[in-house]
Amino acid sequence: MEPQLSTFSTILAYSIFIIASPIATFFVTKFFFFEGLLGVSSTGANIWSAVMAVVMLHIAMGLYIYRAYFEAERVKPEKVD
Amino acid sequence: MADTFTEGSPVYGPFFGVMGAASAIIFSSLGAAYGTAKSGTGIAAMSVMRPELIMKCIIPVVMAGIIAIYGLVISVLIVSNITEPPSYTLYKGFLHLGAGLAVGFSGLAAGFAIGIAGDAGVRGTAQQPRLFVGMILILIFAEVLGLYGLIVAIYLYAK
Repeated sequence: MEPQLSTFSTILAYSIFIIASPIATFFVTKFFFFEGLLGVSSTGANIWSAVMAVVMLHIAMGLYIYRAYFEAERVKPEKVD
Repeated sequence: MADTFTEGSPVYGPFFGVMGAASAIIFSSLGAAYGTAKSGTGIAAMSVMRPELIMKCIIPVVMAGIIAIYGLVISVLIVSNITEPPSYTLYKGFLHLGAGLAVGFSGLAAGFAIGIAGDAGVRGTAQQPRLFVGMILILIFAEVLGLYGLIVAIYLYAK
């Protein structure tokens, strides 16, 4: 694949992951885990789901930083004169 | 309806909660917008010469976006808890206003820090790639300021 296209698709995939994963985590943990399985009250479920969403957000960002850190090590700039 | 209002739960009680929800998302978005714009100009300037570093240098933009998600989380939490006045006490309204202001202004501060440090960081990384680790550390410490505000806001909300 062209380097430009592969960079774009990687960044697009990570962006969607970073934006969507906390929102999905919030609602999935709220409705299925805390309210469904554990039977926590609505306020408690909201708070713990929010904490889970923030944790998920940082995991997603950490994955992106990890990828970016080792991506650029591999891609050496090609000198074109 | 009106005779059920008491001193502890007046008709204007939800005003404070609504203002808390609004200020949470307004101020943290303001900080995130400043961080994105300021580091975006840095990325645009440095990627003219070093386009292979774009993936590394998008990180300040991602971190600025996370600040806005902090505000969004607290805002959604507050809005989901606002009800009609007699069951919504003034005390709860004050707590929600405090939670919104805590995450809002911390997000504003963190966004400013990310913008300025990210702008200088990406310009420097283009010239000296070993600066990258330092830039990431500075950005993490700037972003943690917003996280402190989020922790205080969740603590206030849960009271």
